[in-house]
Amino acid sequence: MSQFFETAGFGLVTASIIALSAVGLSLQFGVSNVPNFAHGEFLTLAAYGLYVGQQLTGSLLIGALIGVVVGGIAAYLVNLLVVEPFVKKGARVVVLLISTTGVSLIVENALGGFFGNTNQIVALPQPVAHHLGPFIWTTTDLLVMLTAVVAITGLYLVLRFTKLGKAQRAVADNRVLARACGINTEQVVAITWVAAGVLGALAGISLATSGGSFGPGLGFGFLLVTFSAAIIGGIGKPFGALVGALIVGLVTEWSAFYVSSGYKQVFALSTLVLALLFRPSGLFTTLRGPAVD
Amino acid sequence: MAYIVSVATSTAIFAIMALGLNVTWGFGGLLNLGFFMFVGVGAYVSAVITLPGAMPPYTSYILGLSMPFPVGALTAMLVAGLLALLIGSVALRRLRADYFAIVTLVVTAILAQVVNDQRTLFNGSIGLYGLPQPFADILNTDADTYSYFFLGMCMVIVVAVFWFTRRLQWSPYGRALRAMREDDRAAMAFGRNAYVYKLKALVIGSAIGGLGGALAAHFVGVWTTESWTIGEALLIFACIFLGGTANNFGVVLGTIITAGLFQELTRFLPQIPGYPDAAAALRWVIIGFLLIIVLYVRPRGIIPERHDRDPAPLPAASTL
Repeated sequence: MSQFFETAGFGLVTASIIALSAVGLSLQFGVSNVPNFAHGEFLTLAAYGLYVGQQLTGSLLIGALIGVVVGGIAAYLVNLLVVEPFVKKGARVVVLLISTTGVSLIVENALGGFFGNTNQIVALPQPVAHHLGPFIWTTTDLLVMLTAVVAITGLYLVLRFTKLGKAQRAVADNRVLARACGINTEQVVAITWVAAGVLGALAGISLATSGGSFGPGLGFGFLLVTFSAAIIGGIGKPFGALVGALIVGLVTEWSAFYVSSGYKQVFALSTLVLALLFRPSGLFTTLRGPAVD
Repeated sequence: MAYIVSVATSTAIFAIMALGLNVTWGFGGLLNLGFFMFVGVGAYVSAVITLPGAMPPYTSYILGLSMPFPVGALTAMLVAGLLALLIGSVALRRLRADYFAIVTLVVTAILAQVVNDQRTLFNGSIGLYGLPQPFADILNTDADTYSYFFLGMCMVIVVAVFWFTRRLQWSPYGRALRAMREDDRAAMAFGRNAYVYKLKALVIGSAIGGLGGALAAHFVGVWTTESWTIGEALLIFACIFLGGTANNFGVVLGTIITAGLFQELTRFLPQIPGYPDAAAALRWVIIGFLLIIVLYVRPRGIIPERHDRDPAPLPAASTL
């Protein structure tokens, strides 16, 4: 039974990383109504930002800050250079799916070409294990969970209590109507993309530091898990994604322990297939039907 | 010369795959990002049917029947089609484009992982090798003449698939399918079951993809999970977008330009000292840019879809 809780502890760490990524994705989808298959590249770019920053300055913290900035800028540029032009032309959802997948192909291979396809190592201090109740976590684990809690609480406060958050919710509900009310919708959408990029970057940095090494495929490999969590929670509902992340994260680590670590990804992704079978519009559907369709 | 024959053969095989994907995506409007899963399954199935029995502990895989290539290719189509039926009957239930695309990607990832880890299935991550050359035992010719024969065989199959999909496009089924691609609800209002129509489009396209996979595997002689990447699927999408979605001539032209010229010419990119992976990566970067630029500048492709063979709408319908 103690192993059950220890594994659950790892599950919470994994869930925190998935949550950072999925909440960002879900928020951006909800506000801009664009499915972004390049979201994984925000994670990858941030991880490389962390790596380069650490190589140059020797500090993990400065590396992480650079990673966050890189992720935010990348998201801003993807929206400005690829997504908005297509949206203005009235492109269909499938066209946006393909173009963002193209962005992902470009970024992944550009990084692979420049840094090489070999894995990069993140230099970490000697891990220290902390026993907290039935759980065992390293310092990195605790920092990852703290980051997720702080970032997502911050996002909740912004969405709930600021004028920007109100504008974001308005644009998510109805972009045309929001514009008619005098909201600068393009600016709100751009800010949302940057927020998604920053959250994705935090996920990428957490993923790279808890894994210790990463390659150019880091983000794309994580994209499907991210989408699983977001869809289970009902895509477009950022705080539903939180529950989705918890489910996917726990399933990942429990299946790794009780079945085989080779199959943890298979189990994680199977939750999505099951969710789509039984609750196709997410766990938290309101009586009025899905919020985004 | 041998090089040109080899490029022509691989382009012909890509054309078969692109024509198949064109049924699913071009006519049916289904964003099957996992298309290469069906190609891969076709390749594996044809391989284990034509290969002799496995020799543990060196190799391990199921079947190993030493059957001739046509049996392998037909079974490949059948299995790819059945897999499409299974996946489609779940994934197409809610006809939402983005969910369908994600599910196809997810199932591809799951299958690739299982094939990689279960060595008993298709020899795990090592993959299958030493695939027999189709009809080589009957023909009994030298390697040079055989390569022409293989090219000829692929060309015949391209023509057959071209003819079949063209017939399909202008059939009542094809017309209804393309109408649904534009507007599900309108087509359903005329009593068509969109779910069944789209499921058929997925199954037919995937079966053709399985055939392409079988040819590709026997052409190269080896098949591993390495070839299950999203890039491969996007390459075929790029062929279709560039040439012209839902136009067979366009799809073939797009394949010649993208899979033939682009893929091959970029192989000759110079190596950059100090960046060993750059040349290979640059090819994919170029494909990515090609995809986005074509979608933006000419979303309907070089030769757009034709509508002149569709019956003109009735006057009453156009005023609705």
